[in-house]
Amino acid sequence: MTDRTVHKSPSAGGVSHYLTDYSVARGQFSWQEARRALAGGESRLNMAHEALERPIGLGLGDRVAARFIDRNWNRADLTYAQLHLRACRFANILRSLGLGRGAAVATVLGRGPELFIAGLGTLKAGNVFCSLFSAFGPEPLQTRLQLGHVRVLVTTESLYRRKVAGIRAALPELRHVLIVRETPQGDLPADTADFAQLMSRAPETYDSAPTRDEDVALLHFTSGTTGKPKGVTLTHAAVIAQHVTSQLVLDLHPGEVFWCTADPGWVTGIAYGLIGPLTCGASMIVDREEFDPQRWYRILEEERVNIWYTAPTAIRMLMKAGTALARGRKYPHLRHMASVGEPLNAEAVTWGLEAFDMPFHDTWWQTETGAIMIANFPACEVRAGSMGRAVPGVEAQVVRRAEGGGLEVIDSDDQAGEIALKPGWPSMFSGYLEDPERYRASFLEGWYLAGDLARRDRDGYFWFIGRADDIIKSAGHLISPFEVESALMRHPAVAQVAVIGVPDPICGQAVKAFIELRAGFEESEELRRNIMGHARRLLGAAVAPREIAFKESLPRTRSGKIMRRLLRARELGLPEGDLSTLEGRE
Amino acid sequence: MDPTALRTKLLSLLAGVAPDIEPGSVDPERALREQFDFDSMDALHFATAVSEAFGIEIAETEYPRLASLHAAEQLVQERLAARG
Repeated sequence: MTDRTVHKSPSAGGVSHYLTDYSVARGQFSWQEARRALAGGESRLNMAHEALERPIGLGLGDRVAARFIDRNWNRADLTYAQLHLRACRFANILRSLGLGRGAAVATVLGRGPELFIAGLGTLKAGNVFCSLFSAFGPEPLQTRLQLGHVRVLVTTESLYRRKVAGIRAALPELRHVLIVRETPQGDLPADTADFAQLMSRAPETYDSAPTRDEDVALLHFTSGTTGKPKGVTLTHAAVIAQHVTSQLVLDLHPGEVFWCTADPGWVTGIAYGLIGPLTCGASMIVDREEFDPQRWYRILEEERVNIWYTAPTAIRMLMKAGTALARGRKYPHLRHMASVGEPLNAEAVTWGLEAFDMPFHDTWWQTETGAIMIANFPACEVRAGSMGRAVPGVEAQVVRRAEGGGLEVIDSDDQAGEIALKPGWPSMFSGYLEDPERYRASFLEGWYLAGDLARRDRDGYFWFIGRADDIIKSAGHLISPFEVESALMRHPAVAQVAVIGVPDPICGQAVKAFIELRAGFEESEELRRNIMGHARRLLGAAVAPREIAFKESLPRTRSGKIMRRLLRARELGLPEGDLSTLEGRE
Repeated sequence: MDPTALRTKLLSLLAGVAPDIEPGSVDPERALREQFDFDSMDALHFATAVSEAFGIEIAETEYPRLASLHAAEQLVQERLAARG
């Protein structure tokens, strides 16, 4: 493991950091005090209220909350005050639709104003907001809309036609579909309503619902170790941790320009692409386009981005495009860069120094934790390749599950084990939807077990080792091999299938499927393409396998279970006899 | 290179990366990303496939020139002509 340390001088960047001395910050921190700093009273707390009314109350109403940049470089700004009025309108729409408190509202949208408006309006109305990944195919969307009992969906016309229209009949609970038009004219699909038209008629005042800390605010789906995705619920209290970490880890000050490149279909895109930065009074940059190195450098320069939160896959693609391209522009306003999604390799951390004169700061968390838990902090030294140290208020340990069923906290340095967090931070998930058993199984002897393997060095820095299960981490997305396998099994030529993650220089892990064909089918390039096309249509490009290999027979245990670990070992050229050490190997 | 042969070849390379795309449904002038579920990893794989198939170099900074089928054809023709 590379151990390169990037030291910091206390005055770097010319801004006073929220966290200057790690030990002092840890010693002084309390969640009670963090909660008191927010606007919510003793018995009420509302995420949208903290994201809109609180900054407006602090005099930031006329500041830009979000700037949306489209393909042709048209920029559209929404101030805090404007965003607030629109969120109120959307909350009124929900009320007029007769939606009860707590019912779920989903979006299948890219990064755009409607996502912000629907998300904040939903939270304001006391409904549960569920932002779904717009690159999902119809199959994953159907599963999630069903599991979430989603009543209202906001999506665009083309996404609806491509992905939702065909599954609508299977979604009896989905009562209202609001369409964001892409062209001003023309008929909308049957049984849908016009988002803009409803918005124009809705009143623009709405008192935030008096939600309490423990009321569910957000529903995020993540991949589990079965074919069924996990519906992770976060409560309104999560805003406390999202606010605190936006300050302590991302160092967002009011008025600063912040760019989070995450897709809103994942937890980062909501916690740090919507809620957290607004609670800090930051001005967000929202690029409506997909990744493009030249475009990204132009945004960093022209938009005078101060703080940038991106992902390892993007950073590695930028590295591939060359340092000279990065150096072709100037970034005098940029003062902090952070990364999340999968472990950031040491080379990528230090490439930041070459390209931007500052390192990338890796952070670690997951949907279940609701906010950043482990991080490299702006004022502290960065250990390249390390996830960083536990956020103040968070107790993190490395543990080992004992043979007899108990738990052993590993005290010695640099020993591999599973990351465990002591419950008590306010953004901890409140449940897995309709799966209390699975929720209970996530905890052992008073610790939440994260499923990620790591070691901790003598100074408290965590170093990622791998996943403890078969979940694939690809381009920042958690992908369940089971979900991919069940889609592949529906192809008429597929008899058996096993899906694993294989190392990929760009996206960390790439999804690879090993397929045993049914009798009567011959392996061919045409068949390979046919199966891949089938998977992409059902699952979407981001989830479907990028590679397919045909096998005469797949390795199985005596009970007939396909051994993904053995496949992975063979794929990576590792000794097959030493399977115990292979779990989650990168 | 013969434009028809070039188009057929590019569509076949595209189908290798994203077999869910019907070759007949591709609007050559519009970005692939806008028409299909075609993400940045697909774009990267398509660029690599084009580069290998024609034996031409395509720098990462030129990937946006492969955004649409027509733009890709122009880039390939340009490179092949330069090679003589």
